[in-house]
Amino acid sequence: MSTAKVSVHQLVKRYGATTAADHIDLDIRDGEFLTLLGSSGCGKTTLMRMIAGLETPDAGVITIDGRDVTRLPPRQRRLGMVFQQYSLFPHMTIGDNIGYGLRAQGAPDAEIKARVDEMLELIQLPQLRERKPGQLSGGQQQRVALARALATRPSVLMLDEPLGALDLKLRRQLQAELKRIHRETGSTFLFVTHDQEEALFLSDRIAVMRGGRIEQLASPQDIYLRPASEFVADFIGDVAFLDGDYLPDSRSVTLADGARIGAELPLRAGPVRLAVRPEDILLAPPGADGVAGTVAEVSHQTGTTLYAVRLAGGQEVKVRSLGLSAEAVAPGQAVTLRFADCRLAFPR
Amino acid sequence: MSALAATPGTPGRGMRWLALLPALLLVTLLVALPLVDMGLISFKSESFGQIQPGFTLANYIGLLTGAGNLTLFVNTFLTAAAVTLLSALLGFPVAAAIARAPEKWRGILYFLVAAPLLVNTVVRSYGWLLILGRKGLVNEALGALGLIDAPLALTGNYLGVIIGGTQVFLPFMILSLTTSLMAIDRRLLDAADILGAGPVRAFLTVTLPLAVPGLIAGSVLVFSLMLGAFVTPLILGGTAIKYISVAVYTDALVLFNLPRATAMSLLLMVVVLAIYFVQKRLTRQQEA
Repeated sequence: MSTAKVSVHQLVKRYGATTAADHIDLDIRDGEFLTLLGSSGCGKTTLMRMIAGLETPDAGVITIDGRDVTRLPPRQRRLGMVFQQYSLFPHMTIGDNIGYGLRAQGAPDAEIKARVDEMLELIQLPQLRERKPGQLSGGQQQRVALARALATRPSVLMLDEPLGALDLKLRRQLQAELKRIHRETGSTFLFVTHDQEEALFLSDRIAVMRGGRIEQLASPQDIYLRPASEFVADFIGDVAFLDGDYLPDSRSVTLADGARIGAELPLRAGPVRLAVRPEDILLAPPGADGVAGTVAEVSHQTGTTLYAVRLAGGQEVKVRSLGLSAEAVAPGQAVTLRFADCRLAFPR
Repeated sequence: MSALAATPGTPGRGMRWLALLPALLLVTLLVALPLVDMGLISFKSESFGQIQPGFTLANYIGLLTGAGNLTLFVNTFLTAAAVTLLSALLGFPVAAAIARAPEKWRGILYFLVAAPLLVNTVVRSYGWLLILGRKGLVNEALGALGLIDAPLALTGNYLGVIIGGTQVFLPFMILSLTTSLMAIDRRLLDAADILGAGPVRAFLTVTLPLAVPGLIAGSVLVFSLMLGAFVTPLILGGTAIKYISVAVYTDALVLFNLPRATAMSLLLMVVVLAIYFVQKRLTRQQEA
C-alpha cells in the first residue's frame, strides 16, 4: 500500500547540546519533488545527509525502496546527490564525471558512453564532453553535477542548496530546468533550500523545518494559504500579525484601537492573532470605509509595489499592489486600508 | 623622492632596493662568486695538487666518457630514486592521516613529523649505524631470535644508505603530500561514495590523482636533496659504494684533484636544476 520511496522513522541526531534531528518522521513519495525548507541550523541538511548516509543517526530508521539502509554506507544506497559547490572531479573530463557512477558499478563501456550521451542531451550541453570542470561556468558545472547524479538512475536524487552559489538570473533559469528534468525523468527529488520562493516554485510538497523538527509538511498552496503555525506563516511570504478579539456573531475581529476587520475563522470568540498577507489588503484614499493608517515606506519591486502602512495602534502591515501606481503614494500620507475577509488566524 | 612622499608608509622603489642590498651582497659574495670560481677551476688541469695554467675540457670529457663514471652516476641516481620511492610509499599514509586528523591534533602531528629535522644529520646517520651495524640492534635481535647465523650486511652498502636517506628526507615528502591532500575537497569523496565508489576506487580515482602535485613536489625535493646528500652516504655507505658526493669529497680532499671535483659538482648541479625545471613544467601543466 505504501508508495513511500524513502521513509524516515523517529530519526534523532545530536551534536553535543544541539539537536539537529528531533524524532523526525517523513515519507517521500515515489516521483515527487519534496523540499526541506528552513533557515540555517534547522536540521534540513543534517536530515538529507543522514538519508544519504554521510551522517549516522543516533536513533531511528531510514528505509529506501522498502530496504532498511540505516547502517549502510552511501555507496550501497543507490542515491544521487548534487552539492552546492558542484563538487565535480576537477581532474576528469565532463564525460568521465558523468560516467563515474556507472563505471563504479562496473557497467560496460558501450553502456556508459550511451548513457553519458543521453545525460549530456538532457542537460543540453553535448558539446562539453571533453572539457574539464574548471573550463565551465558555474551554471554549466551545476548542470553537469545534475547529470552525474542522475546517470546511475538513483532511487532518489538529493539536491543540497544546489543553486545557492549562482546569481539570481541563472538561479531562475536553472529552477525552470530542474522542473523540466524532474518531469522528464520522473525521478524522486529531495531538495534542500532556505529560499522560500524557490521552494514554492519547485516543489510538490514542502517540509518546513525548525529546530530539528518538521513544522509542517504540505503542498506549496497549503503551506502558503493554510500555514499550521505562526512560524510557518511568518517564514513563507510576507505577513503581518494583528492582535484583536474575534466575534463570530459579527464575523469580525476588533483590533486594540477599535478598528474592525472582517474575518471568518474556525475559532471560538476570544483573543486571536490575525495573519494578513500583503495581497489581502487594498489601499484606498483617506476617509473611505476601512481601517485608517499612514504610509511609512514605499518600495518598488519587479511588477509590484510594496507599501508598509502603520495603523493607528502602531502595528505595521504590508500592502502589495500590482504595477507601479500612477499617482505616487508618498511616505507620511494618510490612507485607508480595505481588508479582504481574513481566514487565517491563530488563537492567543 | 616623490615616490617616497606620495605614499607614506610604503617605501619607494629605491628604498626597497636599498633594503635588499645587504642580502644581495651576501648572496653575490658567498654563492655567486664561488660558483664562478668553481666553474673556472673545473676547466683547469692539475698536477700533484697544483692547478695548472690554461683551460681544458679534459675533466668533463673524462667524467662523461670514463667507464667507471657511468656507474657512479647511475648508482647515485638509482639510490636517490629508491629513497624517493620509499619516502613516497611510507609518507603517503602518514600524510593522509595528518590531513584527516582533527584540527587541534594537526599542529602536534606536524611537529612530530618535523622533529627529526632538528637533529643533525650526522647524529642521525650514526644512530642508524648503531641500529644497522654488524653488532647493531637489528642484527643482535635477529641473532638472539635465531633467525640468522651471521650478521646481515645492513651498512657499508647501498641498503644502509637507502634506509638512512629515507629516514632523513621522509619529513619533506610527508609535508608536501599533506599540503596537497588537505587541499582536496572532502565533498569530492562524499560524491564518489554516493556514486557507488568503494574506498579503494575512490582513492585511486580521486585522492591519488589530486595528490599528484604534492607527490611531484615532494619527490623532486627528496630526490635532489638525496642526490646532494653527503653525510648519510659517507657514514652508512662508506667507501664501498659509488656515490657522487662521496666521490667529490674524495677527489677534493683526499686526491686533491680540485678541477675534477668541481666539474663533477657542477654536472650534478646542472642535473638537479634540470629536474627542478621539468617539475615546474609538469605542475604548470597540471594546473592548466
